Amino acid sequence: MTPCQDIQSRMDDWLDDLLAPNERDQIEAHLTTCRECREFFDAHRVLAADLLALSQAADRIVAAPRGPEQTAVRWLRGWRAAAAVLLAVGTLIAAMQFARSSRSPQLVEHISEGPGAVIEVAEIEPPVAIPESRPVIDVGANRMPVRMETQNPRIHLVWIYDRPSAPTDPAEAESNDDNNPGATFMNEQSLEENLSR
Amino acid sequence: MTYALQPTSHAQDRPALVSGLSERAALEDFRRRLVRYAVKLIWNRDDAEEIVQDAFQLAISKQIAAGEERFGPWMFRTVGNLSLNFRRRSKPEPLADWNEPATGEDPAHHVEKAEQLERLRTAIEALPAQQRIAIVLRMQQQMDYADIARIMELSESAVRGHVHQARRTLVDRAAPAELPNGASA
Repeated sequence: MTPCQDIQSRMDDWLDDLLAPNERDQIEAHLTTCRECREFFDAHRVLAADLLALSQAADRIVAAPRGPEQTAVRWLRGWRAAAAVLLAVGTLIAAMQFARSSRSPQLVEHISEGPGAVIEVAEIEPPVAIPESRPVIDVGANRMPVRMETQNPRIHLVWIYDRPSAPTDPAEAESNDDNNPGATFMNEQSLEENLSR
Repeated sequence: MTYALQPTSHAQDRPALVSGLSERAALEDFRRRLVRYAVKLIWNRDDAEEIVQDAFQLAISKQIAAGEERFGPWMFRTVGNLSLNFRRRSKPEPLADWNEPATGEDPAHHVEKAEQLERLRTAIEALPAQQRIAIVLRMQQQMDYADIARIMELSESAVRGHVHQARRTLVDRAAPAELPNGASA
Protein backbone atom coordinates (compact mmCIF):
# COMPACT_ATOMS: atom_id res chain seq x y z
CA MET A 1 0.00 0.00 0.00
CA THR A 2 1.40 3.36 -1.02
CA PRO A 3 1.43 6.27 1.43
CA CYS A 4 -1.41 7.89 -0.50
CA GLN A 5 -3.51 4.72 -0.40
CA ASP A 6 -2.89 4.46 3.32
CA ILE A 7 -3.93 8.07 3.89
CA GLN A 8 -7.04 7.77 1.71
CA SER A 9 -8.09 4.51 3.39
CA ARG A 10 -8.38 6.50 6.63
CA MET A 11 -10.62 9.14 5.08
CA ASP A 12 -13.82 7.68 6.59
CA ASP A 13 -12.40 7.68 10.12
CA TRP A 14 -11.06 11.16 9.53
CA LEU A 15 -14.50 12.39 8.43
CA ASP A 16 -16.15 10.58 11.33
CA ASP A 17 -13.69 12.15 13.77
CA LEU A 18 -12.62 8.74 14.98
CA LEU A 19 -8.84 9.19 14.62
CA ALA A 20 -6.38 9.74 17.42
CA PRO A 21 -4.78 13.23 17.46
CA ASN A 22 -1.43 11.95 16.21
CA GLU A 23 -3.09 10.15 13.27
CA ARG A 24 -4.94 13.33 12.39
CA ASP A 25 -1.74 15.33 12.47
CA GLN A 26 -0.08 12.76 10.21
CA ILE A 27 -2.85 13.09 7.65
CA GLU A 28 -2.88 16.89 7.81
CA ALA A 29 0.88 16.90 7.24
CA HIS A 30 0.52 14.63 4.21
CA LEU A 31 -2.24 16.80 2.73
CA THR A 32 0.02 19.85 2.71
CA THR A 33 2.43 18.08 0.37
CA CYS A 34 0.19 15.83 -1.73
CA ARG A 35 -2.17 17.55 -4.13
CA GLU A 36 -4.01 14.37 -5.15
CA CYS A 37 -4.83 13.42 -1.57
CA ARG A 38 -5.74 17.01 -0.73
CA GLU A 39 -8.27 17.10 -3.58
CA PHE A 40 -9.61 13.72 -2.48
CA PHE A 41 -10.11 14.90 1.10
CA ASP A 42 -11.47 18.28 0.01
CA ALA A 43 -14.12 16.59 -2.13
CA HIS A 44 -15.28 14.55 0.85
CA ARG A 45 -15.12 17.57 3.12
CA VAL A 46 -17.40 19.45 0.72
CA LEU A 47 -19.71 16.43 0.57
CA ALA A 48 -19.95 16.32 4.37
CA ALA A 49 -20.72 20.05 4.49
CA ASP A 50 -23.36 19.70 1.77
CA LEU A 51 -24.97 16.74 3.51
CA LEU A 52 -25.14 18.81 6.66
CA ALA A 53 -26.67 21.75 4.75
CA LEU A 54 -29.19 19.36 3.24
CA SER A 55 -29.97 18.05 6.70
CA GLN A 56 -30.47 21.58 8.03
CA ALA A 57 -32.82 22.37 5.15
CA ALA A 58 -34.87 19.28 6.06
CA ASP A 59 -34.94 20.36 9.70
CA ARG A 60 -36.22 23.79 8.66
CA ILE A 61 -39.00 22.13 6.66
CA VAL A 62 -40.08 20.22 9.76
CA ALA A 63 -39.72 23.22 12.08
CA ALA A 64 -41.65 25.65 9.87
CA PRO A 65 -44.93 26.80 11.40
CA ARG A 66 -47.98 25.45 9.67
CA GLY A 67 -50.88 27.61 8.58
CA PRO A 68 -54.49 26.55 9.10
CA GLU A 69 -54.81 25.60 5.42
CA GLN A 70 -51.83 23.24 5.59
CA THR A 71 -53.20 21.72 8.78
CA ALA A 72 -56.58 21.18 7.14
CA VAL A 73 -54.99 19.62 4.06
CA ARG A 74 -52.89 17.34 6.23
CA TRP A 75 -55.92 16.36 8.27
CA LEU A 76 -57.70 15.41 5.06
CA ARG A 77 -55.06 12.90 4.03
CA GLY A 78 -55.23 9.13 4.21
CA TRP A 79 -58.16 7.45 5.88
CA ARG A 80 -59.48 10.79 7.05
CA ALA A 81 -59.83 11.84 3.41
CA ALA A 82 -61.81 8.67 2.69
CA ALA A 83 -64.03 9.33 5.71
CA ALA A 84 -64.55 12.94 4.63
CA VAL A 85 -65.46 11.87 1.08
CA LEU A 86 -67.92 9.28 2.41
CA LEU A 87 -69.46 11.89 4.69
CA ALA A 88 -69.73 14.39 1.83
CA VAL A 89 -71.29 11.82 -0.51
CA GLY A 90 -73.74 10.75 2.20
CA THR A 91 -74.73 14.34 2.84
CA LEU A 92 -75.20 14.94 -0.89
CA ILE A 93 -77.40 11.87 -1.28
CA ALA A 94 -79.48 12.87 1.74
CA ALA A 95 -79.87 16.38 0.34
CA MET A 96 -80.94 15.00 -3.06
CA GLN A 97 -83.47 12.70 -1.42
CA PHE A 98 -84.86 15.61 0.54
CA ALA A 99 -85.06 17.77 -2.58
CA ARG A 100 -86.79 15.00 -4.53
CA SER A 101 -89.36 14.36 -1.83
CA SER A 102 -90.16 18.03 -1.50
CA ARG A 103 -90.88 18.94 -5.10
CA SER A 104 -93.57 18.18 -7.59
CA PRO A 105 -93.01 16.25 -10.80
CA GLN A 106 -90.96 18.32 -13.13
CA LEU A 107 -89.18 18.27 -16.40
CA VAL A 108 -85.61 17.10 -16.18
CA GLU A 109 -84.45 17.62 -19.70
CA HIS A 110 -85.37 17.64 -23.35
CA ILE A 111 -83.53 15.41 -25.72
CA SER A 112 -83.36 15.74 -29.50
CA GLU A 113 -84.92 19.12 -29.88
CA GLY A 114 -84.84 18.99 -33.64
CA PRO A 115 -87.71 18.63 -36.01
CA GLY A 116 -89.76 15.49 -35.67
CA ALA A 117 -89.66 13.66 -32.37
CA VAL A 118 -89.05 15.39 -29.04
CA ILE A 119 -88.17 13.22 -26.13
CA GLU A 120 -88.93 14.65 -22.76
CA VAL A 121 -87.57 12.93 -19.69
CA ALA A 122 -89.61 13.58 -16.58
CA GLU A 123 -88.98 12.72 -13.00
CA ILE A 124 -92.06 11.78 -11.06
CA GLU A 125 -92.32 10.89 -7.42
CA PRO A 126 -93.97 8.54 -6.75
CA PRO A 127 -93.51 6.67 -10.04
CA VAL A 128 -96.55 6.62 -12.25
CA ALA A 129 -97.61 3.25 -13.59
CA ILE A 130 -97.76 3.27 -17.34
CA PRO A 131 -100.23 0.82 -18.87
CA GLU A 132 -98.44 -1.71 -21.02
CA SER A 133 -101.30 -2.86 -23.19
CA ARG A 134 -102.87 0.47 -24.08
CA PRO A 135 -100.55 3.47 -23.95
CA VAL A 136 -102.22 6.64 -22.78
CA ILE A 137 -101.79 9.14 -25.53
CA ASP A 138 -102.12 12.70 -24.40
CA VAL A 139 -103.77 13.98 -27.54
CA GLY A 140 -103.88 17.62 -26.48
CA ALA A 141 -100.16 17.75 -25.87
CA ASN A 142 -99.49 15.33 -28.73
CA ARG A 143 -97.33 13.10 -26.57
CA MET A 144 -97.15 9.52 -25.47
CA PRO A 145 -95.50 8.02 -22.39
CA VAL A 146 -93.27 5.02 -22.97
CA ARG A 147 -91.63 2.56 -20.62
CA MET A 148 -87.88 2.86 -20.68
CA GLU A 149 -85.23 0.91 -18.84
CA THR A 150 -82.39 3.33 -18.13
CA GLN A 151 -79.34 3.47 -15.93
CA ASN A 152 -80.69 6.53 -14.19
CA PRO A 153 -82.84 5.54 -11.17
CA ARG A 154 -84.35 8.99 -11.08
CA ILE A 155 -86.10 8.60 -14.43
CA HIS A 156 -89.58 7.18 -14.10
CA LEU A 157 -91.35 8.47 -17.14
CA VAL A 158 -90.32 9.27 -20.67
CA TRP A 159 -92.63 11.15 -22.96
CA ILE A 160 -92.22 11.05 -26.67
CA TYR A 161 -93.65 13.95 -28.56
CA ASP A 162 -94.45 14.07 -32.20
CA ARG A 163 -93.78 17.60 -33.26
CA PRO A 164 -94.31 18.34 -36.94
CA SER A 165 -91.36 19.91 -38.60
CA ALA A 166 -91.49 22.84 -41.00
CA PRO A 167 -88.86 22.03 -43.54
CA THR A 168 -88.00 24.50 -46.26
CA ASP A 169 -86.25 22.01 -48.44
CA PRO A 170 -88.76 20.00 -50.53
CA ALA A 171 -86.53 16.94 -50.39
CA GLU A 172 -86.38 17.15 -46.62
CA ALA A 173 -90.15 17.67 -46.45
CA GLU A 174 -90.61 14.47 -48.38
CA SER A 175 -88.47 12.52 -45.99
CA ASN A 176 -90.33 13.87 -42.93
CA ASP A 177 -93.62 12.27 -43.75
CA ASP A 178 -96.28 13.33 -41.21
CA ASN A 179 -98.02 10.03 -41.75
CA ASN A 180 -95.03 8.19 -40.50
CA PRO A 181 -93.76 10.06 -37.41
CA GLY A 182 -92.12 6.98 -36.07
CA ALA A 183 -89.65 7.10 -38.92
CA THR A 184 -87.83 9.97 -37.24
CA PHE A 185 -87.97 8.51 -33.74
CA MET A 186 -84.80 7.21 -32.34
CA ASN A 187 -84.50 3.54 -31.88
CA GLU A 188 -84.34 2.29 -28.32
CA GLN A 189 -80.57 1.95 -28.28
CA SER A 190 -79.85 5.51 -29.35
CA LEU A 191 -82.47 6.78 -26.92
CA GLU A 192 -80.77 4.91 -24.13
CA GLU A 193 -77.46 6.46 -25.14
CA ASN A 194 -78.96 9.91 -24.98
CA LEU A 195 -80.55 9.30 -21.62
CA SER A 196 -77.36 8.03 -20.11
CA ARG A 197 -75.40 11.14 -21.08
CA MET B 1 -14.21 19.25 8.80
CA THR B 2 -15.71 17.75 11.88
CA TYR B 3 -19.24 17.77 13.16
CA ALA B 4 -20.65 16.94 16.49
CA LEU B 5 -21.83 13.40 16.94
CA GLN B 6 -24.43 12.56 19.50
CA PRO B 7 -23.08 10.45 22.34
CA THR B 8 -24.01 6.82 22.19
CA SER B 9 -27.09 6.39 24.28
CA HIS B 10 -29.63 3.70 23.78
CA ALA B 11 -31.91 5.60 26.12
CA GLN B 12 -32.78 7.85 23.17
CA ASP B 13 -34.34 4.82 21.53
CA ARG B 14 -36.71 4.52 24.44
CA PRO B 15 -38.34 7.93 24.46
CA ALA B 16 -40.25 7.36 27.68
CA LEU B 17 -36.94 6.91 29.46
CA VAL B 18 -35.35 10.19 28.37
CA SER B 19 -34.70 12.07 31.57
CA GLY B 20 -36.01 15.57 32.07
CA LEU B 21 -39.04 15.12 29.85
CA SER B 22 -42.45 13.81 30.62
CA GLU B 23 -43.36 10.59 28.86
CA ARG B 24 -45.63 12.40 26.46
CA ALA B 25 -43.07 15.13 25.70
CA ALA B 26 -40.38 12.52 25.18
CA LEU B 27 -42.61 10.62 22.77
CA GLU B 28 -43.34 13.83 20.85
CA ASP B 29 -39.60 14.58 20.73
CA PHE B 30 -38.99 11.09 19.36
CA ARG B 31 -41.79 11.49 16.82
CA ARG B 32 -40.21 14.71 15.56
CA ARG B 33 -36.87 12.94 15.13
CA LEU B 34 -38.63 10.33 13.03
CA VAL B 35 -40.35 13.01 10.94
CA ARG B 36 -37.02 14.75 10.32
CA TYR B 37 -35.57 11.40 9.25
CA ALA B 38 -38.48 10.69 6.90
CA VAL B 39 -38.25 14.19 5.40
CA LYS B 40 -34.60 13.51 4.57
CA LEU B 41 -35.72 10.46 2.62
CA ILE B 42 -38.81 11.76 0.83
CA TRP B 43 -38.58 15.55 1.15
CA ASN B 44 -42.18 16.31 1.90
CA ARG B 45 -43.36 17.09 5.40
CA ASP B 46 -46.99 16.05 4.98
CA ASP B 47 -46.02 12.67 3.57
CA ALA B 48 -43.34 12.26 6.25
CA GLU B 49 -45.86 12.95 9.01
CA GLU B 50 -48.20 10.41 7.44
CA ILE B 51 -45.48 7.78 7.25
CA VAL B 52 -44.49 8.27 10.88
CA GLN B 53 -48.14 8.04 11.89
CA ASP B 54 -48.41 4.78 9.95
CA ALA B 55 -45.30 3.48 11.72
CA PHE B 56 -46.80 4.25 15.14
CA GLN B 57 -50.00 2.46 14.15
CA LEU B 58 -47.96 -0.53 12.99
CA ALA B 59 -46.12 -0.54 16.32
CA ILE B 60 -49.42 -0.57 18.16
CA SER B 61 -50.78 -3.37 16.00
CA LYS B 62 -47.61 -5.39 16.60
CA GLN B 63 -47.68 -4.57 20.31
CA ILE B 64 -44.25 -2.95 20.33
CA ALA B 65 -44.37 -0.56 23.27
CA ALA B 66 -42.46 2.71 23.56
CA GLY B 67 -40.73 1.53 26.73
CA GLU B 68 -39.11 -1.48 25.05
CA GLU B 69 -35.48 -1.41 23.99
CA ARG B 70 -36.36 -2.60 20.48
CA PHE B 71 -38.87 0.23 20.01
CA GLY B 72 -36.45 2.92 18.75
CA PRO B 73 -34.58 0.80 16.18
CA TRP B 74 -37.83 -0.79 15.06
CA MET B 75 -39.46 2.60 14.50
CA PHE B 76 -36.48 3.97 12.56
CA ARG B 77 -36.33 0.79 10.50
CA THR B 78 -40.06 0.92 9.77
CA VAL B 79 -40.05 4.62 8.89
CA GLY B 80 -37.06 3.98 6.60
CA ASN B 81 -38.76 1.08 4.86
CA LEU B 82 -42.06 2.92 4.49
CA SER B 83 -40.22 5.92 3.08
CA LEU B 84 -38.29 3.84 0.57
CA ASN B 85 -41.48 2.08 -0.53
CA PHE B 86 -43.39 5.31 -0.62
CA ARG B 87 -44.96 6.20 -3.91
CA ARG B 88 -44.62 9.92 -4.10
CA ARG B 89 -47.90 11.77 -3.86
CA SER B 90 -46.60 15.27 -3.41
CA LYS B 91 -43.80 17.24 -4.96
CA PRO B 92 -40.55 17.34 -3.02
CA GLU B 93 -39.89 20.64 -1.30
CA PRO B 94 -37.78 22.97 -3.48
CA LEU B 95 -34.47 23.36 -1.71
CA ALA B 96 -34.09 26.99 -2.79
CA ASP B 97 -36.90 27.82 -0.34
CA TRP B 98 -35.26 26.09 2.60
CA ASN B 99 -31.55 26.62 2.10
CA GLU B 100 -30.90 29.74 4.14
CA PRO B 101 -28.21 32.05 2.73
CA ALA B 102 -25.25 32.71 4.97
CA THR B 103 -24.81 36.24 6.28
CA GLY B 104 -23.57 38.45 3.45
CA GLU B 105 -23.71 35.61 0.93
CA ASP B 106 -23.83 36.58 -2.72
CA PRO B 107 -27.33 35.78 -4.11
CA ALA B 108 -25.79 34.16 -7.19
CA HIS B 109 -23.69 31.92 -4.98
CA HIS B 110 -26.78 31.05 -2.95
CA VAL B 111 -28.60 29.94 -6.10
CA GLU B 112 -25.58 27.93 -7.20
CA LYS B 113 -25.43 26.31 -3.77
CA ALA B 114 -29.12 25.38 -3.98
CA GLU B 115 -28.48 23.73 -7.34
CA GLN B 116 -25.55 21.84 -5.87
CA LEU B 117 -27.71 20.58 -3.01
CA GLU B 118 -30.39 19.60 -5.52
CA ARG B 119 -27.82 17.49 -7.39
CA LEU B 120 -26.78 15.90 -4.13
CA ARG B 121 -30.37 15.12 -3.19
CA THR B 122 -30.92 13.48 -6.57
CA ALA B 123 -27.71 11.48 -6.18
CA ILE B 124 -28.78 10.26 -2.72
CA GLU B 125 -32.13 9.13 -4.11
CA ALA B 126 -30.29 7.12 -6.77
CA LEU B 127 -28.23 5.20 -4.19
CA PRO B 128 -29.04 1.56 -3.41
CA ALA B 129 -31.49 1.35 -0.50
CA GLN B 130 -29.06 0.28 2.21
CA GLN B 131 -26.45 2.87 1.24
CA ARG B 132 -29.13 5.53 1.21
CA ILE B 133 -30.39 4.63 4.67
CA ALA B 134 -26.86 4.33 6.06
CA ILE B 135 -25.62 7.67 4.71
CA VAL B 136 -28.74 9.55 5.86
CA LEU B 137 -28.60 8.06 9.35
CA ARG B 138 -24.87 8.66 9.65
CA MET B 139 -24.31 11.99 7.94
CA GLN B 140 -27.68 13.65 8.37
CA GLN B 141 -29.20 12.14 11.51
CA GLN B 142 -25.66 11.97 12.94
CA MET B 143 -26.15 8.61 14.58
CA ASP B 144 -23.19 6.49 15.58
CA TYR B 145 -22.43 3.26 13.78
CA ALA B 146 -23.63 1.04 16.63
CA ASP B 147 -27.11 2.59 16.58
CA ILE B 148 -27.29 2.44 12.79
CA ALA B 149 -26.28 -1.23 12.92
CA ARG B 150 -29.15 -1.96 15.31
CA ILE B 151 -31.59 -0.11 13.08
CA MET B 152 -30.44 -1.82 9.91
CA GLU B 153 -29.92 -5.18 11.62
CA LEU B 154 -26.39 -5.35 10.21
CA SER B 155 -22.91 -5.52 11.69
CA GLU B 156 -21.12 -2.24 12.31
CA SER B 157 -18.52 -3.10 9.69
CA ALA B 158 -21.27 -3.68 7.13
CA VAL B 159 -22.74 -0.29 7.94
CA ARG B 160 -19.32 1.32 7.60
CA GLY B 161 -19.00 -0.34 4.22
CA HIS B 162 -22.33 1.10 3.05
CA VAL B 163 -21.42 4.58 4.28
CA HIS B 164 -17.99 4.37 2.66
CA GLN B 165 -19.44 3.29 -0.69
CA ALA B 166 -22.19 5.92 -0.54
CA ARG B 167 -19.61 8.66 0.10
CA ARG B 168 -17.56 7.55 -2.89
CA THR B 169 -20.61 7.49 -5.14
CA LEU B 170 -21.90 10.85 -3.97
CA VAL B 171 -18.55 12.56 -4.41
CA ASP B 172 -18.53 11.38 -8.02
CA ARG B 173 -22.17 12.03 -8.88
CA ALA B 174 -22.89 15.20 -6.97
CA ALA B 175 -19.74 17.04 -7.94
CA PRO B 176 -20.36 20.27 -9.87
CA ALA B 177 -19.94 19.96 -13.62
CA GLU B 178 -16.52 20.97 -14.93
CA LEU B 179 -16.33 23.79 -17.41
CA PRO B 180 -14.58 23.09 -20.75
CA ASN B 181 -11.52 25.10 -19.74
CA GLY B 182 -11.11 22.95 -16.68
CA ALA B 183 -12.23 25.59 -14.23
CA SER B 184 -14.70 24.47 -11.68
CA ALA B 185 -18.31 25.51 -12.39
